Amino acid sequence: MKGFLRKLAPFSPDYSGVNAVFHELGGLVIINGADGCIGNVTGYDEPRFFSQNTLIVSSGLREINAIIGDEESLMQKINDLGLKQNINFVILLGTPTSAVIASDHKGISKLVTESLEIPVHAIGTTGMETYEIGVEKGLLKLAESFVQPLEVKTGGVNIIGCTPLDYWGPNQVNEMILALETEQVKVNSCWTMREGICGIRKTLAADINLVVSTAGIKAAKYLEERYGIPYVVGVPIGKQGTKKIADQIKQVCDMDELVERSTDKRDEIDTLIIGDHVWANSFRNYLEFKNKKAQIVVGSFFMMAVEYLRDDDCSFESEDDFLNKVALLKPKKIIGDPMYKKLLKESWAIQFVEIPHLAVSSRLHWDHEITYVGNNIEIV
Amino acid sequence: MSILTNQIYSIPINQLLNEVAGRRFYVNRKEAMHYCSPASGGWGVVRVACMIPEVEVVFVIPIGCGRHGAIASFANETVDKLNFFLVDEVGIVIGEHLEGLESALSILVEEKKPKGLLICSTCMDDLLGTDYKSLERELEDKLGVIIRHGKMNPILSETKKAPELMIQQNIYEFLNEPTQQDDGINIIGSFVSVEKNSELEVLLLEAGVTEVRHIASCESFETYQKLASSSANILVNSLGIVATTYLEKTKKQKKILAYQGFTLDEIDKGYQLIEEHCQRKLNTQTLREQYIKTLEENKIYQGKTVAIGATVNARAFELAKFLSELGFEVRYIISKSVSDIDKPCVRWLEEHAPKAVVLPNLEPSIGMAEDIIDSVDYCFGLDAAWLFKTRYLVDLSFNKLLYGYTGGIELMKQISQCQVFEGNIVEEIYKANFVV
Repeated sequence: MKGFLRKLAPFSPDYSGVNAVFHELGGLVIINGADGCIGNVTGYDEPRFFSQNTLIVSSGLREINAIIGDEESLMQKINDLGLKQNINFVILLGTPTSAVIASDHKGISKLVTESLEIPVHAIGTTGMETYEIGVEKGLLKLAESFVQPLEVKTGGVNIIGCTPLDYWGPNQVNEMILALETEQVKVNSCWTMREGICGIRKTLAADINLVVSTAGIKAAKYLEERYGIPYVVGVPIGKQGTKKIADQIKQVCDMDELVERSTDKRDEIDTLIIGDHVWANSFRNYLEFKNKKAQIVVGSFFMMAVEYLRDDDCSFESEDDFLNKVALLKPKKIIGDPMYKKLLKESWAIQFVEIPHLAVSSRLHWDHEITYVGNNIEIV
Repeated sequence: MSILTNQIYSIPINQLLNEVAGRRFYVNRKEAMHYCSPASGGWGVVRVACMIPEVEVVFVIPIGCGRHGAIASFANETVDKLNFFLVDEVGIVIGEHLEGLESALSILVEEKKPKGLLICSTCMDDLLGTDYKSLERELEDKLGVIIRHGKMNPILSETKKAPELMIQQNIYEFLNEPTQQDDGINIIGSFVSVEKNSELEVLLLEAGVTEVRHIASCESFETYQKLASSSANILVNSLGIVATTYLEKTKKQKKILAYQGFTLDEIDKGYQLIEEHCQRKLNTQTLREQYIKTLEENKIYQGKTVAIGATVNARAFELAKFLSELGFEVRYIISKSVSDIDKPCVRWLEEHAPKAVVLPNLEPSIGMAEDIIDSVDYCFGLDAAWLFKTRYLVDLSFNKLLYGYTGGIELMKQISQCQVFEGNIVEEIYKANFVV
């Protein structure tokens, strides 16, 4: 049944996704809701909470504020925070409660921007969509409002779409960058891990963007339309995969023939990869480089990019839908977050390879150090 | 880079009662944002809701709610009774979600055959005034199980119907009318019961109490029903105040306000109230003497500085008084509110610990500190140990109830045997799985 979770925890919400984008950029993130909403983000979706200084606060919305539509108090609370001059921005996010009372976050942002002389950006989250929608909105906001025109182009690639919700792990991003550098691809900026706001501001110095998560595609399209920067979609995984991506980056070649694979289609599915669509596609490429005959299907509970889907790829709408599709596919192996294991029937005897996805299992597995990008893949 | 002012808002102990009187004794400022670090919170509504044996819990929520509680529950124990029915904006506004919910509950009842269903809604349903009472009645008939409605609605925090109070009532709403009351006593307000053969249990049994009961000790719906037979409830933590009032009204169970405490006065007071209920003198003399002896032996901490957090399984101001009596210099108390029962302790501290200052537990300026706020010798509670550099950490976890004279002795033992804290406080905080 759609929307009925009996084994899984609710996935990361959209406001966690936006926070993940802005967390390292030296701003203030305000979640306009009761305190439970922020508790999801700080405690369960943001592993950098204790290591980064970006401040995230809750408006502490209470029933009386909601009933009387009191937006004055929110503005007052922002003004009273005593923001220092070196703050880069304020991000104002909505929650289910503020959504249902239709809080005018854009209006509030405008008024507070005027009074504080600090840019306040309202990003339309509702807490009713999953994280990648928020990441997408956050990255688009970066592209629209934070990228600065530069006189000199120094070249290189911007990595678009890195957040802990997809790529958590001590060295994940480093591995990705290292793999690209091994192929003589210079990384200009990484949106939005390991970089401060300066990294975002120098975006236009690059020749090309590399989109590493589905949520990054929209921002990359915007940067192409607005600034003429082309983009490639894929994650450097394995030597051959990285080389192919590097070739595309260097030549801006066509995506279609990224991997040579067997055209013989068997009914038997070897592997089902579950995760962010862009990562899962790249991981499939990695496996196909190792075995051209492998029959591999990609599936996701999250947004998938239609243009990068293969025929058998599937979107899971619910736990039941997942069960039905797995029953049909009968894969020998599943690669995905350990939480999905709870959904499988024991009698199926499917080999399960655990790759934690923070947006799914949060803290339950975020200490499970495993490298699933770059040239030092530890699994499969 | 720290982005905000380094001035941390705090209230000197001698100004506390005046300052918070205007905000119904809540320490957090009304006009301030809330800073909710992973070091704040407690068990949370989800985990408490799962305490009823053989009752399935269904949270009717937008995806943005309930994740923290779910992960915390999964991390702490094997939870196989937790379900989420996700709602979207349109569905909830037009009330369509209730139709889907009915189907979901039917599936659940058919598959898992629970003895009851606890449906918990959130702030959104509160604001929209969704009629769960009618649904409860209608579905009870249709599905043939007891259905009750709870709420995880933090927009009502700081009110008399705060979610952390109301969920404590909800977990007793599945109790039937007892056919007969016995001389059993329930422990209410704590997440765990007193330990087997603990002081409280032994004293109560000696005084004629037939059984000491706690919801966490009930393994089946049948044993859970025995809670209804008890003649009285001992309220050990004010979290259970609404629950005990409810049980008094519906099950005619007497309310004994014998709160957990560590000072001699508080422990004595608690036992006096229990004695009044039992109409018998409890055999506390030896324990009391032992406690007094240990207390005297432990008055050795003169000049040692202390910070007390809001995540301790204790009443922070009462604990501060107890520690002051041991000679500690109480510097900081992190707190959410000052309850009526804490006010005498605050007044005592005004005189005996005048240097103490109180930090609101959700104070935003805490998150703006450029460095650690201060160093202290001892921290009680993980949130305190995160904010203050400390040599010794006493956790006082919610997962253990220290009660009575032996509870006080146990705490003194923990303090005296405390090793220099060399662990990773962040890891400890994550392990605690607090939920705001």
